[in-house]
Amino acid sequence: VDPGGLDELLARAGQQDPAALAELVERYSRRVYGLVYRLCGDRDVADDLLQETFLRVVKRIGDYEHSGRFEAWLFRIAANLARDRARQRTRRGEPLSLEAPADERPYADPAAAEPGPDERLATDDARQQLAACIDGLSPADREIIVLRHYADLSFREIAEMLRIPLGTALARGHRALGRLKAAMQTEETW
Amino acid sequence: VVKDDHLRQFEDALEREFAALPALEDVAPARETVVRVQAAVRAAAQPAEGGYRRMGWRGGLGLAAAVLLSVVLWPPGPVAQDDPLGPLVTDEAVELDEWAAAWDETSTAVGDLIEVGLDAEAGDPDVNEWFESLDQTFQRFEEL
Repeated sequence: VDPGGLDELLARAGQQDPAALAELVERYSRRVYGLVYRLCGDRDVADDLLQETFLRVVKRIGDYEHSGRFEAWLFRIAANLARDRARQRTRRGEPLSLEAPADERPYADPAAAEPGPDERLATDDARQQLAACIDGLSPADREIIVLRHYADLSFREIAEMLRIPLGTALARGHRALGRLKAAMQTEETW
Repeated sequence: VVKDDHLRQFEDALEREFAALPALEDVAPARETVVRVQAAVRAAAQPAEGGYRRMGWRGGLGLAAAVLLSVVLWPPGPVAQDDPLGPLVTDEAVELDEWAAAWDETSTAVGDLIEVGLDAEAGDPDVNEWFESLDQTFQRFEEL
């Protein structure tokens, strides 16, 4: 089983086939952009991080051993770059904007403006509420929620990426989830 | 083993709680952003005709950094053969090391930018000439 010919695409990308690498961008840019935007909350920074992520993929794809977790591998690269960027900006005294104003929300592709199943899901109240509550979390809480829930990384993968023990990752996830639920309940009472 | 079991139970319970959350939607980047990133990855792909050339001057940049670093960090001089602790690392050396790492990172970023421009001008004789002169410069650097 090779959904969408991913195995073959990755094999070609591993040989540095430019068309295959461009196809990976086409397939995964929405997912990667969703991750870095949710982590950094800034459209311009997310644009940069998207490009940096795929340039790093070009450099490292030869070392990637496909085991059905390509997206997790990709997300780890993107999340690491987002962390590096946040650290750089913090050092320079430019903390990332955590809650981008509504007019700075990511551009919506006009070609996708026709209402369809995906769009109806995207406007689902529960999803909107969840996204808004995640935006309001602290950077540390938001990071672990986004890595687990959006990027679908396991807690073991998160622990490895953040270089913390599994127990610490689980505890952080537990606390962050508690605060997220509290925020969602608060929103519901309004 | 007890600790591992406890962690696994904790993890399973937490996974169930996360599974109960509604899914988060993807976020679409601007189309022009996607196109720009695609152009960048095409330009960065290595096996194109310019691949070896790029590797050559990238290697040259790395070598230049290494030569500079080694000359400053370990200048020719008497070697303390009897020091069991080995050479001391001074604050200046650490700072210099950090500077060299930053320089290396910057040169890589500059390289990426150059490659994007290069692919846009593929086949331009001026670009080829420029690369040849850069190669010669690095060869001289290496000889030095």
